[in-house]
Amino acid sequence: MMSGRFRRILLRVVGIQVVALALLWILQARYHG
Amino acid sequence: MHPVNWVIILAYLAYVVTDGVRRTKGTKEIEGYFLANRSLPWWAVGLSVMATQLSAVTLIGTTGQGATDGLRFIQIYFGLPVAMVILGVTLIPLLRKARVYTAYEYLEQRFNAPTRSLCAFLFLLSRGMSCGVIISAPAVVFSAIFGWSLPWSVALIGIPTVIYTMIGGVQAVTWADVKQMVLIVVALLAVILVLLVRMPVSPDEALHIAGATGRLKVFDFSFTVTETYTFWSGLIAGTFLMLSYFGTDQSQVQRHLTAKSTDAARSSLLLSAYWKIPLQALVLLVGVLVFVYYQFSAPPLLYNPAHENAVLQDRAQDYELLQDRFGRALVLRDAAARRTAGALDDAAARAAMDDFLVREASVQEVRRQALALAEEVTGESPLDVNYIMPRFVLSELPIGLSGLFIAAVIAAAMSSISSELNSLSTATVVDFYRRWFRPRASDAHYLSVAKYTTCFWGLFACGVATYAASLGSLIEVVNRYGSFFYGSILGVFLLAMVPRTRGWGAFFGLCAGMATVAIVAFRAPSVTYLWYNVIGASTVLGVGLLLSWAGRGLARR
Repeated sequence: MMSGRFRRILLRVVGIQVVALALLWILQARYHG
Repeated sequence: MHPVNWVIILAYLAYVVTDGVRRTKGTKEIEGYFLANRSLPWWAVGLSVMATQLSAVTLIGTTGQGATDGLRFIQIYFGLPVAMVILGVTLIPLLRKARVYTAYEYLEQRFNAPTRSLCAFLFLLSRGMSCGVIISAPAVVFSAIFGWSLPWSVALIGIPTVIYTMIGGVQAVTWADVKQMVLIVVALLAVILVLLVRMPVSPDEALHIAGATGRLKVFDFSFTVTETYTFWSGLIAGTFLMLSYFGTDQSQVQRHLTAKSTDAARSSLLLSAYWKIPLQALVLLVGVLVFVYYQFSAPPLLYNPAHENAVLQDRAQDYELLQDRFGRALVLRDAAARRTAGALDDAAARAAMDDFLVREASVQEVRRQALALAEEVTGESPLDVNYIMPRFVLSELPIGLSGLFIAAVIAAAMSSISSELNSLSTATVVDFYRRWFRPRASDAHYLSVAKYTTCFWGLFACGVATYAASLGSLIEVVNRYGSFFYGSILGVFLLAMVPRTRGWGAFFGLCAGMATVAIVAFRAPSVTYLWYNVIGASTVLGVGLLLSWAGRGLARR
């Protein structure tokens, strides 16, 4: 059902989201308030 | 505006039209015209998906929101990557396998003709109107900024888009989207660069100032259905919204149906999953930096120049008094901001920050009074969030870059309008004309009808955009009505994936879903629209399953 290529892309999506949210979290923690 | 800026804008318009018109290869049959013979590469489709979603409102409204409200708006997109992954393994293979032109065509294969026609009709109604709103938003701003008449602004954006969409079909739309997307990102990066270079403080100090005013607060973990911008609303309700938009709205479905394979279609959606949150953060960050920039450089008291002129004509004395107070408050705030940026230790920074916040509040108080005056004089909504970015671009950016940014705003509008016109034409021809009136005509006939319907929807949208102000309440009704059925249509597609569900279950489930959302909207208006998608989809699924189960029971008897 899912090709190997799609699985690799899926892992990358999850990875990039985690990095993006972590960066936003750091931005908030460092500068907010 | 400087002539160089005009040359850039006109060059962009000339290029996008001629390039689109040239892309008629393979569009002699309707599969080529509507779906590019299902041959496009994943990256082009992916950029087209992103360009379709990113409209001029994003560039002028969202940046303005970043300047006034900060980054918290981004939470609405937290469900997007989840939705893309779900669509990649569910609806995408289903629609590709069915070899359909529209998402609604699949509903007839799975359920019945009334369900298909009702969903297609709801799509035409809402997208036809929203296309007008997409043209109207930047056109109104251009009119106020440049002093053009509204019909001229609407024509500048609408007519070139109709020409290339009508002649080149989906290929012209997709390849124009790719270039428009590149232009938009380049313009945003260039604006950030200029802001960083021209600000008298370092990026770190700029972020400290923005953070002090709450503009870098991204996450709100409170769980409430009355707030739109929270982590949970974005993640749960946002996932439903994105599933509806990317999976069941023809303006997006048609993008991934043009991909050359199922894997390519999935990858095209995953491009948004990768880049939407970073891109949206970039757009909001531009707004935040504009806010910081205006701490050190005097902003206009009213960003909307039309309101400013009206107030100056009618209440010049009051306005000048306010401007005097505004000027004094700005000088004090500027000094406080510089002290905040230059504080040597934590205690000094804290004291300077407190002083800065007091000064910022007094600046905002004068602005509130000026906005109230504008409302009194013009009788219009005084909100001028959409004018912050255009005013900044025209007064603060170097020659050439302001032209580039205005061209990017037009590109963002065109990329959304063209995809919508293309999909409105497809749904009109495939779901109504071919289905109900001329099922066995030649491809040449359908092709010419498709071109006429593209032109019709383009003129309809331009008409809605021109009269948007007088149609205000009607458009609001349609938009509100649109959010009533968005989740319900998603519910029908979810039901289609459940084995042994029946056509009439789906049809009456859809009606029940819309009715439930309408009841919630009127009886509990504090529930944010994001949750309508969850309520609509769940009701359709529940009622549809129940009726299908009851129908099977009756049939057995």
